[in-house]
Amino acid sequence: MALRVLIVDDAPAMRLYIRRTLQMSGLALSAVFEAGDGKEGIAVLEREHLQGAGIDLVFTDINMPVMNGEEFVTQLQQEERLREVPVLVISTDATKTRVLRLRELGARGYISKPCAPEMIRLKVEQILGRDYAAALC
Amino acid sequence: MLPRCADVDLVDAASEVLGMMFFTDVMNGNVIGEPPDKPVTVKVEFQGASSGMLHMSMPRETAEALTANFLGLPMGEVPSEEQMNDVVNELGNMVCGSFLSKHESEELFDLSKPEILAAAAELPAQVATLHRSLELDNGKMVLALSWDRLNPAA
Repeated sequence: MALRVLIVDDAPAMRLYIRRTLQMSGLALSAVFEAGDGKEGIAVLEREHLQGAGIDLVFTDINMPVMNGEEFVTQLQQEERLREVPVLVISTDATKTRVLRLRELGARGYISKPCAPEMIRLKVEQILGRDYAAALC
Repeated sequence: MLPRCADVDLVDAASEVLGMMFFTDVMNGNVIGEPPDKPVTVKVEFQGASSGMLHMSMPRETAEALTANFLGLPMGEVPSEEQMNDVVNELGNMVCGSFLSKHESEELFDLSKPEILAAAAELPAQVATLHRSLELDNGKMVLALSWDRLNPAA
């Protein structure tokens, strides 16, 4: 089963890093979408949901303009058709308070930067389960 | 008097970020050296239980090498100015966040959007600024941390 992934980050370099890491990790990807903030991310999720394909996993930063990562996760939880989409937060802010707050808001996982490429792949496997392990090279 | 291990943690934070995400080793974290000429400098401010700012300054060649590593550019390809600024901003963001996470493990903090400074900008020279020079396997870098916890009167 090939993954459809959305990367939400205001830094193009970080979006490219995550995209490249996913592509090199051996995970089977059928589509990778990008958004520069939470509001754009919601728009992509709604569009893809309406088109019937949906998104399997979202990576998001916290510090972003317009709609930050916490607001993004909160809004997703308020959207019945989108709240089951797992969100993995990647951020430099690894304080316990921040991680606990994000978990309470509904984030499914957290990766603190800096992160090795293997960590991203491990987290994806943890969140999506072994169904996706079959898709690994 | 420095907060416990602030100088060590700053070098550790930079070393972890550079090693894990930029495939760059820090060969020596205690070099005393002059700031580079016409450097690429990024500034990140932070607020929370404590406040301050981090400057990271490096020669353009170092910034280009780090950018190429981070983006996985083909050998010999020179990154664009936009790519370099974007990556150096992200580097500043990660080093500052990583350092603060080591020190403020229970407290929330907010980082400003990183800002590339003009080449002529000078690093802060206040007393309450911690300076460290890093010798990298592909260049060098100077860190300057201005932090209210470095000020004994704060």
